[in-house]
Amino acid sequence: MSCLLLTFLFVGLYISVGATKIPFLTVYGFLVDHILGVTYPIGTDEFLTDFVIWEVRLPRVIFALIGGAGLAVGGAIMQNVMNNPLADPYSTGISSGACFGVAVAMILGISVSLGSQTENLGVMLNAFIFALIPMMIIVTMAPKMNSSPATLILAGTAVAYIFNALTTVLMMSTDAETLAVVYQWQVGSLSEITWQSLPLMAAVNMVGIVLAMLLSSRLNVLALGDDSAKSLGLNASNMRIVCLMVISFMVAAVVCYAGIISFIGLISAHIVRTILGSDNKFVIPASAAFGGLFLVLADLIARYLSPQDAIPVGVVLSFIGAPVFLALIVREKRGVW
Amino acid sequence: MGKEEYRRVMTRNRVFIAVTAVLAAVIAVVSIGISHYHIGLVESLEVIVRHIQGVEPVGFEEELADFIVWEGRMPMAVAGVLVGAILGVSGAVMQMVIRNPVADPYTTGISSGALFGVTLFVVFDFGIVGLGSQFGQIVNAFVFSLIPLSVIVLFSMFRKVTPALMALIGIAVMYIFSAMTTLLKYTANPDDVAAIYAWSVGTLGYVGPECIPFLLVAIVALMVSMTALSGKLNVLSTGENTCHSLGVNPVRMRIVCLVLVSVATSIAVCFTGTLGFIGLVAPHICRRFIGSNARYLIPASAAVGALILIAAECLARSVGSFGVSVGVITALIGGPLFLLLLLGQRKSSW
Repeated sequence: MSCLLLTFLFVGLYISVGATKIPFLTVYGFLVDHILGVTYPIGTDEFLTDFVIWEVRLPRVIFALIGGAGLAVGGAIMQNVMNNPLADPYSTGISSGACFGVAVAMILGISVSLGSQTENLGVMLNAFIFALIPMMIIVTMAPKMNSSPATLILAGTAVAYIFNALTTVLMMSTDAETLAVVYQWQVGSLSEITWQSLPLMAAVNMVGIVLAMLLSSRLNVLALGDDSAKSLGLNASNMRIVCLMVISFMVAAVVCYAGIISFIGLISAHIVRTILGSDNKFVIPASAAFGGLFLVLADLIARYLSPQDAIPVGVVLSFIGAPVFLALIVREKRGVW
Repeated sequence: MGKEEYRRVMTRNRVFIAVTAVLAAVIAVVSIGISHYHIGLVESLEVIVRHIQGVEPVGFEEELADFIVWEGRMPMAVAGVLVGAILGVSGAVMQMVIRNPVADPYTTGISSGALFGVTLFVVFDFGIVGLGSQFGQIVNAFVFSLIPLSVIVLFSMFRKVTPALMALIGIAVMYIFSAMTTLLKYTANPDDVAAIYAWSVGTLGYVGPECIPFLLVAIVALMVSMTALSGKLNVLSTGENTCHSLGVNPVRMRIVCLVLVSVATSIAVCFTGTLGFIGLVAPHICRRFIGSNARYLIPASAAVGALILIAAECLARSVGSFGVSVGVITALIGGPLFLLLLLGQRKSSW
């Protein structure tokens, strides 16, 4: 409940901060007016404000909210499934795959979209499809190897290294400017978000989060170990693969629009666990709420410090998140892992 | 397991270690003969022998050959073996100490700390010691790479820290450093960014003869201490409770190992940049063949690490003028091979 209230406040604050300053309270007025169907004559100040709020900042804040939630939940599930506190949503190589896709699109000019659409869409599609490749490799390999979490995560890491190396080859062969563009994409940013970015991302992540909540009791069983899971009637390896696929789609949908926003997926679940303990019934919804708020807050600070989007949101995430996490570790007595 | 079988396994382990070590040495020698200068293996070896005997090179051709071999390829071959061994051992110990299969030598944040040090140096010319350019960068990398470790040690002095928490603290500090590096890179010009990027990929190309003593000290210290501690490392990997009942202080043991390993890795990193994958994969390959006993795992990881790095370096150099770095080759060839290895594995060694 308090989270909802905070969300409401943050959203308002978020929209009011930026290159054109809009007073905090009027934001809500404009939002309500827009929903009620009030239109302003073109060219007036009100029209401009309405445009900035509705077309630029609202989609971005919604994206941050849902995307952050998706990444955080992805991290929580991945840590659970892999039985590894160091896992994050990108652990199985999703980010490396996406990166390679972007590098292929930008440096070699090859994209999956068959060239008919705009360049931007090609880059995005490439990111989305290449992000799913590592997952496919692991899923096809899984039945043929022992599917202990250690093996799965190692396979994922190996795949990640392979894609990173391929990206490096491409990046070494290109000029400094293209390098900078690809690099910027690697750092992650919300500056390109429009209404068009929302439907796919929001749908996939909402479904994913709901699914995760439904599966939370099974995730708890899985955390007990494969043997206990078996005796409680749960096929651990199948469960892992299903979770892996769900996470991959969720994360790929975020990554292809926003680049690789790191840290939030790793840290949100840990912060939530130090406060609430490790029961997934609470960890997953709480991670979702925390992740969403965290990303909105970080992007808010990034835009406040630099209205022209010069500071990537990932940097702010690290600067706030890491000290908070360290402080929590110092204060917290019980060990969650 | 009967006594006979135990002996057999132990012999097999020793053979595995010996074979990989010899293989690494042979490839290292062969690597001296590979480069785009036309100086073959035999000729290179002759140059080395003459240099050792103290014969002065006569004429420009011989002087050049002497310089190329003695200042360039020799140190690269030796450093390749030493760095590979350091990374292999560090990875093995780190995985045992942190009790996590994805731990690698950089888990305590060494890579991002070092990268930040290098970035500071490249972008602002800020060096901790204001000496010559190459040297200042190396010192920067070394000092900054140990900051995350000191944070971990600081934390574990004030409260009980589980292995997972140690790694998480390292990662948190790591993210702060990467964030700062990112910010600095945004202010830097593209050429500086490219230089930093090249460093972060890792290469043996910067290694000169003056690095060898440092690396040698690091690997010898590491091997001696870890061999001495290998019994305790075995106890450590069985869990906290066993440690107490067998009289091993797990917290102190972890910190000691972490510090030793991190300092050795930092020495390697400051000369070569962050060579990934080897430290992660070498111990896993060894576990697959010889099991998880630290007494054999540590020397085996050293041998396999050295083998991977020097073999990749050979390949990278014989691919030639494309300028493909060692890191890329290790991942591109080592990655699929490692996946194949995982496929063949029936039971997990974790």
